Amino acid sequence: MSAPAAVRPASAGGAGHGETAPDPARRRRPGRGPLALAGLAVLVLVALALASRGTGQGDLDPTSPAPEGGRAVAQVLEDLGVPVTRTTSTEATLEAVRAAGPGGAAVLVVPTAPLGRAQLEDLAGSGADLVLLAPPADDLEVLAPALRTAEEIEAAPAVPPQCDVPAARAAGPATGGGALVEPRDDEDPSVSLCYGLPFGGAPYAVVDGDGSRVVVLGQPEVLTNEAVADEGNAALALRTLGARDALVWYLPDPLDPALSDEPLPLSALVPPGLVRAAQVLVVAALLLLLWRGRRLGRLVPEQLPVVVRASEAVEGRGRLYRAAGDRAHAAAVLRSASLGRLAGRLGVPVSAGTTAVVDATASATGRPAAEVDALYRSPAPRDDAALVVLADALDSLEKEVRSS
Amino acid sequence: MAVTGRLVLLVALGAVPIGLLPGWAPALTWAVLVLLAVVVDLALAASPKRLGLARDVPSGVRLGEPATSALVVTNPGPRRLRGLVRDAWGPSAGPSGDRHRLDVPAGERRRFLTPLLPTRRGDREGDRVTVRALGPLGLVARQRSREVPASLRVLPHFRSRRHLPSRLARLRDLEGRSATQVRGQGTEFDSLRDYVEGDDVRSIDWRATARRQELVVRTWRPERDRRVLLVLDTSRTAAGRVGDAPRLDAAMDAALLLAALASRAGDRVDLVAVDRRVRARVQKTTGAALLPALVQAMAPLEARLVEADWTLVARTVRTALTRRALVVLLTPLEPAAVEEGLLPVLGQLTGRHQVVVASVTDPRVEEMRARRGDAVEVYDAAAAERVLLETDRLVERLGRTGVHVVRGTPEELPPRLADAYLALKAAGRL
Repeated sequence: MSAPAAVRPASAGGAGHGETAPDPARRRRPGRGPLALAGLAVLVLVALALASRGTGQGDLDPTSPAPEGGRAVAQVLEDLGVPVTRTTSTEATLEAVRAAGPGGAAVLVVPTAPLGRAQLEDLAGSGADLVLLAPPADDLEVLAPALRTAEEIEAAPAVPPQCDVPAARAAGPATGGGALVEPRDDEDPSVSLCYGLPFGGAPYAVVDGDGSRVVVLGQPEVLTNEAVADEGNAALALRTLGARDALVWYLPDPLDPALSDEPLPLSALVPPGLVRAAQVLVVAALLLLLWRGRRLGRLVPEQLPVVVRASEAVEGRGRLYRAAGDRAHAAAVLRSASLGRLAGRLGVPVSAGTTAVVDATASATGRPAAEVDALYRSPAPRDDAALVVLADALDSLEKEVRSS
Repeated sequence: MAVTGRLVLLVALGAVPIGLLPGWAPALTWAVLVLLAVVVDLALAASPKRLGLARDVPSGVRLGEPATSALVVTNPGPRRLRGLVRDAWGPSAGPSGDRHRLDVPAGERRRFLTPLLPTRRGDREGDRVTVRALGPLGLVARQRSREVPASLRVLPHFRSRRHLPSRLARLRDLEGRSATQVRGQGTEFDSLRDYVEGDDVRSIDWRATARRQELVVRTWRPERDRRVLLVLDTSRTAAGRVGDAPRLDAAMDAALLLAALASRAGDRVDLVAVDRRVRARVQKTTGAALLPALVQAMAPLEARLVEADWTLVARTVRTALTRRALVVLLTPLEPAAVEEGLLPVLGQLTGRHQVVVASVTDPRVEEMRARRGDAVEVYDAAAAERVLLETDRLVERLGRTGVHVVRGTPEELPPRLADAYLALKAAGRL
């Protein structure tokens, strides 16, 4: 024999003992797998959203002790007598600037969310010094039109200041690189660039306006807890941020309704991790479709039999009578059928004629012959109701004859 | 190829590290890992192409009775076969649970049973068998469908079998009447035997008595070796459904009861099924082989939407029968169809044979006739009366030409036809 093993039925076990092992395919109800997957996907997205919110708050937050936070700088500034106000909306920022008193305030703008044009103009008109941290091109155009963004490079350690700005000169070499800026006009006297590298552009730029100044800081590491102690970073940070009596630390909140004065692309609000995870989940969803959509073999073709009810012709005829409203015909048929039955019942040959049958019926039931005759020989009913009445009358007459 | 929920889950789980880690490198790594797992799984799955598949079904089953399709899966390959198999049958074969979990070790074979409960008469063909072989990781599967020919012949139900014992008893009564030695209609000479007290003196055979010097009487018995030809109409009028089954099925039921009865009575029964062509024919089969031959011939018959060719029927009857016989036409009495088709050729049949027309009626028409609810129902009642009047007139007309008409609902017709046969036999008109 080619097949060595014994043949045994698939539904093994206790078919004979009355305890059939439950089929695992049937025990697991269909549809729960996809549900569980959908639940999992939601959980992942929620977790990612929470996680990304957490990191957003941590980066350069004056209250965050994380390596990327800014608590060290903020605390030292407080110790030095420069109160630090943390704000998340433009309105609160302007309020804080107004409350700062005669010495004026500096506003540190951290790029946690893109600002609208109206807010940028409000900031520019506030009269405060602005410190822009790695600003996007749009911000620069409004707040420091003399500058434009240049390329973004890696952090470079211990770059000499190479400029006359007092803060830079006092700080000495500091961490360079990052988002570089360059002046639109090389001869512009109001612009000073520091920590520049040989190929142009600088991470630290000061634009002196009438009464207020704008500092662009392209290297955020200078402020972070992790790197603030390196080289001259601390001095540079404290001198830049502590130039006025108060510091407003503005962290634009992406959910601030004031930001929506111009339509923001939705993608700007979504952390990139979430996008990647969603893309993976889309692939998983496609596979889910493949999984659930794949048939185990084709649909079985079935040659269908003809389905015609035997009584269909009769029903069709009834509908025709009704559609034509042919009461005369219907009544004639009902009458002649009834006469035929009565004749059979009373033993009168149908060929003897209607009168003979009517007479026999009258004598059998005791009804007047004229009344019976009227049932069978009156003109056709005028409406459907009369037809129904006639049919009922014929029925009751037949019943009487049967019981007599 | 087919994917499983496990693969979906695996890919979805990848969203966590890919979402939390920055950059596209984790995504790429994950894709490569998953692809690798898929390829390995696919490569290690047993090949469904090389499986040995064989079906084992009973040769025939009565309509309404359960049957079992057995599928034997042989795994000749070197790898264990896990996954699913589907033993597909059409809906009218009534399969319940045609999917089975596969687990066949290398070199072994297993048998999977699919219960069938056919809902329609005829040949029910098994469809393709599909095997889904899972890889060892259960991420993907190789799937293949293959034709494994198998056919289950679903025979007519023969519901009217329960009427057979009572009709056979009546038949025995009929034959028992031969004990009285009166020669009556429908009898033929049986034998001579000695006179015993009580025998009718009229049955004494004086010539034989003179030869033997003892009183001898003749005995008689009902005619035997008559011929019965069942003509099954499979044209459009037989397609109409009464209740859940076509009229054809009821006609078959009646034909089977009559055949069973007539073959016990010693008559020879033949069958032809005709519409525009002869669809089935059973001839020269007697005894125990008759009923199986009839059900086998009837099983694949379906009513067709064509008009019956009654001249063909007349010709077929003429060539099939050389001497007088009982011709039973199993055809619905639809006035228009019968007047145009059957009546013109009926003379050719009634001239030589005793003709019986057995017609399946629809109880719904009777129901419609009695309804009186509203105008709609009264119109329907009038239509029903009209059809019944026409049919009555037709029956009368057939009766005048010497045709015996038997009518009844699917339940009533078989016993009525059997009774008509017994009556004709008793009257010696076969």
